[in-house]
Amino acid sequence: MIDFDALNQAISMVFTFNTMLWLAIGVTIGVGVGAMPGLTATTGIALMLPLTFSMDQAAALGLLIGLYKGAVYGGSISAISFATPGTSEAAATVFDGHKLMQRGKGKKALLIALYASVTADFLSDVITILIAPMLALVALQFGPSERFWLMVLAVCLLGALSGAHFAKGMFSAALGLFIGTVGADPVSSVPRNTFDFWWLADGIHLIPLVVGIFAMGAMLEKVCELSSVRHKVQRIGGTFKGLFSMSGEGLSFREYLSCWKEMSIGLGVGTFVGMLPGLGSTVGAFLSYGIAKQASPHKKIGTGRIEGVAAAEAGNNATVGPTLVPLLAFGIPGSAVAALIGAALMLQGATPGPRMFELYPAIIYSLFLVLLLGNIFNLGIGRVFAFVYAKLGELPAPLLVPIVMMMAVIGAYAYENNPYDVLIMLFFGIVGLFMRSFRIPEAPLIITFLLAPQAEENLRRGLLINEGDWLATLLSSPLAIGLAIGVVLLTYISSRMRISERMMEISEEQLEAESKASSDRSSN
Amino acid sequence: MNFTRRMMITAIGAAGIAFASPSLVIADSYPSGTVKTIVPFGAGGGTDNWARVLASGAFDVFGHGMHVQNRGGADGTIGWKFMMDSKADGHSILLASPTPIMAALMEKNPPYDPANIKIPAYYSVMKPTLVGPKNKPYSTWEGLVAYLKDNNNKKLSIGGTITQLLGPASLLAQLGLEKRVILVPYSGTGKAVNDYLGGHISLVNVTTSTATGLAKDHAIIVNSTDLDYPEAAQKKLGPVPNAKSLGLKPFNPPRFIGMHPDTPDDQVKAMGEKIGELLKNKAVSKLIAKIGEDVVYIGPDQAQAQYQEVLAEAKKYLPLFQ
Amino acid sequence: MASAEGKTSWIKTNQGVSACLSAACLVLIIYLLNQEWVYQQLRDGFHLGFVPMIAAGAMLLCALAMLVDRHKRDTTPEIARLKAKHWILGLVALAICYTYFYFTWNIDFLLISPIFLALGSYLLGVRPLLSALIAGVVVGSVIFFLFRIIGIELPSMLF
Repeated sequence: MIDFDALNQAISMVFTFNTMLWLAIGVTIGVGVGAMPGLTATTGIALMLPLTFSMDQAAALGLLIGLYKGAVYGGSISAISFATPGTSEAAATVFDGHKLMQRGKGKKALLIALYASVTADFLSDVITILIAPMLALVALQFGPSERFWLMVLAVCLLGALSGAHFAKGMFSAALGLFIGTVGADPVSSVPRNTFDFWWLADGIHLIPLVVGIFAMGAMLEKVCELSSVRHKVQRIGGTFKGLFSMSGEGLSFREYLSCWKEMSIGLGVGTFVGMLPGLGSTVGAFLSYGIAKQASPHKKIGTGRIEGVAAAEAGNNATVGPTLVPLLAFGIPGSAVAALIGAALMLQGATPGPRMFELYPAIIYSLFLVLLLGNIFNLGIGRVFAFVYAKLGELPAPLLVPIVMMMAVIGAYAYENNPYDVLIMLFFGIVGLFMRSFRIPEAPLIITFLLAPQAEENLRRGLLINEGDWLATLLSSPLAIGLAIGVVLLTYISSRMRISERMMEISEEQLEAESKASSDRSSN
Repeated sequence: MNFTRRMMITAIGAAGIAFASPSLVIADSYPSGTVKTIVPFGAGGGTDNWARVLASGAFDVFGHGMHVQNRGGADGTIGWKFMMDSKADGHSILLASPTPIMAALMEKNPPYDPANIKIPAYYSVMKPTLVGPKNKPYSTWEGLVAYLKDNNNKKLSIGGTITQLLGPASLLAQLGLEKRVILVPYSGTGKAVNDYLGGHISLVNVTTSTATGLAKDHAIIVNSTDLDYPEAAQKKLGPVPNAKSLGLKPFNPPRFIGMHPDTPDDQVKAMGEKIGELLKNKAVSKLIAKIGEDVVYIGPDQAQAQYQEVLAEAKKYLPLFQ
Repeated sequence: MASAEGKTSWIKTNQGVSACLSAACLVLIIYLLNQEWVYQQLRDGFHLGFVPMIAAGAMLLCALAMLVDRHKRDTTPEIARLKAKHWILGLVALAICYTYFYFTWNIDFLLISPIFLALGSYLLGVRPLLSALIAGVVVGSVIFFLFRIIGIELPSMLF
């Protein structure tokens, strides 16, 4: 039942110049923060939070939610322009996005990233608004056992992301699994696998890992390329002209619509992942990308396709609204961002809890309105950033490389003000260079790095709760059983698909060999 | 805050204090500059919120600002080590909680000894609160103890962060019942509450603010400290037994200020007293209430001794988690 | 599978690189087996080293698979192009980045960053040096003030 009085109150609070201004400022800062490697939505919101102490409710929400939405989209801008994901969730966008940029279709890539982000974000906000309490109840059904199977299901998608050389994909996954064990044991918190470095007790952080592998690895590769080029003198006098020009291949409406399948996958996966505490938008992005690749092998996602960009971006942006579901329904923040927004709500006098809808309807409706309006602002402001960055991405490599390296160093440090993160980032830079050179795919590494520790944590927590009973742990509920069956089915289908692909490859090779032999015979 | 705004405020604050109370400036010259405030966690967490709230009133009380620096990582150990590597000039403080203490105790070769620190003051105490479902035999403390004493009953699982779990663990250990519960550690209270609400664990140990959110539909079983809840929270929580009322030794996980062990004692004392004044500042108190926290001030005379007790308790019950 | 044209040395083939990877994984496994913590049993019955050993073992298995699978004789074009000097160059670049970080955080961002950017772009081929310096000052300043607006302080003696 809609409380029309509260809704009217919310409308009068949100549709004011002050709120709109702060929403625009939030989105602008957010996109800028997201585009900078190492800076995340969480950092941006945490730093802006003290500003909201003296603001009114709607303006405070406008600033923070705008910043959040902008940052999640913003990461894709540098991912596409510089192969440097601004945020970890944008790492999946690099695979297709940067290839499009290299082909001179940077504007197209940036626009599909923007439109897919806004579309999925908007629709997931609508879903959140309509059925937040229902979504929250679904989220509660996922306990340790169910989450374990969910992680395993996600890891089964690795096959699609392994590329042509399966063993390399699996090596990448195993490496990610190993890196994920560095730090503290998830149940007892005892340090393990730290190579006697005390500062590794907290493990390897996602941001330095992603910045190192993607950004620094790409820049090291460029350094090697540039050192091999003989006449490398570059005049940059005229380089900054035309920075704000609108030239470049744009995106047609038809092309946008052609990505409906990938955007739908991103919407579904992102909404689901967003509402489960602890998973995050990075998982949403990679899972959507993996599923989209699996679902449409003929589209050759990964070779520089707008569908790949759409899937990844829809997957990460669709988590934005649903991330707030546990907070709104129960007062439990499911992510760091939700915790910060919860803190902001508390500062405004609305303590998050199960009775939020009952006690603070005007604030809740304001939040919903800001969630929807934020997408419109993101669309407008994001376009400006996209055009500027598309041009920046065309800067000559000798100028771009030191800039990106500088941003990577600053970003890695600024993430947690931890100097060891810079060391970690640099180390993974050389790992990234090796992976790029040897064509070991990065996606499996990121997925197992993110998911395997959580799978281990949930399995062992389940065993702890069930006092070591494996059956009770693994098959504790109909949902767990269903997910386990899903794992078996997905593994079977993936294997069959790989076998058929291999059979097709073999027959093509045979046909090729036969036609070569017959042309040799006819020439003789 | 941009640099021009900060400079203006510094100038106004300094001028105000200089003209308003010249004798204060001459006699009370500590601190003589900006106080470096190290938060060993990332921006946005509970400790960070506290730091920024305290910093908002620093000019009024110290005559200088508090420069908040986040040095997160390794469960707070990096920030603690950063403080240990700073000069012992009385102008660097660490805002901490038991988390980096536990992290150091878990390590074979910790980067510092958590006993080797000077404590000018506590500024708050967390109140680990055990919450459970209503209408169960263990919905009250007496019911819980009776339930656990009966070996025919299944063990109960209690979820929470390690710091929070030390509360009920210490109370139950005093009754010899620690082996009748399964302590399930989580990295955050939110995840523990999620599993509790989904029925995957029996009980959950949470902060005061989370407990007030759950109070309507769930049983609030026990407060592991010997401190009362703030008035607003008490109204929502109703009568809840605490360690003192149960005749048990409490576990009071502190939020405390730490200083380098070589800091002169008179500076440690002075800092402790200044923190007390800061906590009484009107604007700061208002903000503290807004972020849902409450002040528990323990001054320099008692803070160090109480800290050593907390350390001893943590060492005693740590094996329960390993 | 993309393959480099012409003859490349065995060490650059998938088989050669996998042999090195296999050796590295073996060294890692031996290192882990010599660590005390690997054998430490926890209260839930798991050993601390269980998952790390599984991961290291899986890495070794995959590396061994690459030694013998159908792609073993292929060489990626990227590896074919890389020489020893490129790896050394990479390490030098990383060392320069760390030096940049060290000096920035101990001296001044606005002073060190333009020098780093200018030198870096000049070494990579940007001419004239003045253009590189100007670009360095502009980019450094923009980033400094952007961070300041957000609220992140980069070290500076001036501001």
